[in-house]
Amino acid sequence: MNNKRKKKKKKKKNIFKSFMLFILYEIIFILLTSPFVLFYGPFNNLKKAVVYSVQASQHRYMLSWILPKSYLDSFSSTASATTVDQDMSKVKISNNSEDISVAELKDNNRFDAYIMKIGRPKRIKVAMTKYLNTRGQKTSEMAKEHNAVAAINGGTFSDSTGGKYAATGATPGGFVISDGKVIFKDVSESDKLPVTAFTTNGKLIVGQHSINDLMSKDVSEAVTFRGTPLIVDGKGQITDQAADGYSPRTAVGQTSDGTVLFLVVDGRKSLSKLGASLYDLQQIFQNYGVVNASNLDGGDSATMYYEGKIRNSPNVWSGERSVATAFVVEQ
Amino acid sequence: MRKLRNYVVWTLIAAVIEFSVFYYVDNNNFKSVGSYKETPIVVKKASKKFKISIPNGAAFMKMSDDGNYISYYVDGNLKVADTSNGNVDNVQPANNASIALTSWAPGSDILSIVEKSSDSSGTYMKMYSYNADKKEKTERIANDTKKIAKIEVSRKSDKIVDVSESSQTGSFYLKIGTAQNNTEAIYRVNIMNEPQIVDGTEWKTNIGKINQFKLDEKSGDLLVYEDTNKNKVKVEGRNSISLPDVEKQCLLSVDDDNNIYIGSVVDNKVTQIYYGTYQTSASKWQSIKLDSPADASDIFINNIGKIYTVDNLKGIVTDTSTKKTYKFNGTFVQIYDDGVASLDDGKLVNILFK
Repeated sequence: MNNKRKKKKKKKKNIFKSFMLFILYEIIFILLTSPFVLFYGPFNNLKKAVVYSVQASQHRYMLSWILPKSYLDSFSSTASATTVDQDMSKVKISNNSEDISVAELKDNNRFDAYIMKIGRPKRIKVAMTKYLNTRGQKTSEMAKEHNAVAAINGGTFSDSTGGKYAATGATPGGFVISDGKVIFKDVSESDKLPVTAFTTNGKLIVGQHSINDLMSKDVSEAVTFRGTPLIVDGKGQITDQAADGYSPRTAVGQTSDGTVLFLVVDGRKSLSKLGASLYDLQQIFQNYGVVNASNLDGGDSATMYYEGKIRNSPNVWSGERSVATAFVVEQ
Repeated sequence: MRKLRNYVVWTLIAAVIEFSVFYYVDNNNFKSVGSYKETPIVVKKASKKFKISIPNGAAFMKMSDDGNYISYYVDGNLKVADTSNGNVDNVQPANNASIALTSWAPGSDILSIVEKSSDSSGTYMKMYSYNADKKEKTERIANDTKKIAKIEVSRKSDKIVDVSESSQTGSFYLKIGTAQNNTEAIYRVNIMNEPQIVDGTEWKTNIGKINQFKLDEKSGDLLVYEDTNKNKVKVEGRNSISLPDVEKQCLLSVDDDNNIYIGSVVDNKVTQIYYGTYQTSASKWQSIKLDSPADASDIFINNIGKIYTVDNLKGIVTDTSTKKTYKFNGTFVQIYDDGVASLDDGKLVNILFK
């Protein structure tokens, strides 16, 4: 009798041990092989998503620790910016309505987006932080100071170099034109940079332009931000669906009747809700018949202000990041 | 042999699981989607009247400046409610932590939260913010450590005795101690969430109310506080504010233009209020005499310098400059941007300023 019981107990113990060993083996195997499968396997969408998104974030250096240079070089994170010559006749400002409408767009699982449609585009202006070189301002602050009903964050900026105000958007990059005047530049008047600009009539100009170019085109508002434009003369410019990865975004577009669309996308909420790619932005704009469109600063800066509140959900503890420039819609 | 066969099978199982997951994510999560469903955002012109009940026993009621939200505790649980419709949300502290402070960030619908927790290495105060619109609680990450901003305190019994938050400076001052007159230290948590002790504030028994201001745009913010032994208002690292006509000073407020409001105290009540910037000489400071002396705790000065007094007995709030009076029902709760909030028979009600 005793022997049988002892044998049963031993068998149970053995089965339990085997099972634990099995689980341990599975976990170790999967953990060790996952990086190889991810970076060198056949799952291209996911691979590009991870590499591009990390490259676009503040942690791009981590990739160079894990992956060889030759591998990373094969990923061109943003298509090279090309000179464009928009056909300005494709847009006629006929929507002069004071109406502004905002809607939320829900993608099935990758991001939440907010699209704002604005009539009478002449009222869109560039605002710059009044504490230039010391610290930036929140988009909502700049909007309220301009008595604006709506606003989005603007172009490139650099934070002050450490000290009291690091990470607060103190200084724009490239150049800033407001009310027809160059209020900031760290380049010469003939250097070409990717722009998001509005003429005095409210026509959107995108692509590589210098200050001189824009002044000759009667531009009154402009900021700069890296990359190629999204759409020019109705043609999408982004061919690589994963270019520049997935992240929160801010972008501007204009339809043929002059209506301006502000598009802001939330992201980095979880591993599956990383955000939108440039291709996603292009697709959304094309659904709305946008003729010209340009990408602005995303990441933590992506902010949409409308009627007194921030409508999207920036990943910032204080509700909004301080930035150097913003596009405001004046009353 | 048997063992080898086992490992082969196990490897196959792992490979199948791994590849299935990768395949699923690759195909489902990163495929571009063509069209999107629009949900219009309609901005309702909110009726300014409150529609909200507050449960019995609710304590530490605080409202956001715009009056949109109210936070309170019931049975030790923190709640944040929407004053326009009465919807209530629970705000939970982190595991094994208790909430030490809630304070609405000026001019916003963000509630600053500080939580106290202890572990084997010590007792800490950790910083969070709760966005009432988005119903999201986030850690305040310090720029230097890239981890949650935290302060180590020396005693488990330490509390946050006073606080000063400013939308102008972005700095958050916390007076930590066991009682109003028992300060362990005052910390300044700057705009990058880096806590630092304000020089000269450690282990003091004579620091009363605190506030903050800036000398000018380029310089950082400074702590201003009451020296309860000398009955004078002092500034961190600088001379105290001398008002020759005032025997006993108390610190009332600081406005967005960096004007410091000091009360002249006679027989424990404020009879006159003096205000001006730190750089302005005392002789040039303005003053306003109160029609009837009031407790410092019954004087409210908002960010643009409007001074109100509350008479709890008569249920009246007075605007000291226009002399307009506002009658409220029930017990006084708070003066906010648009009016006076009070608790009347379990309901939060409001009287709007004209």
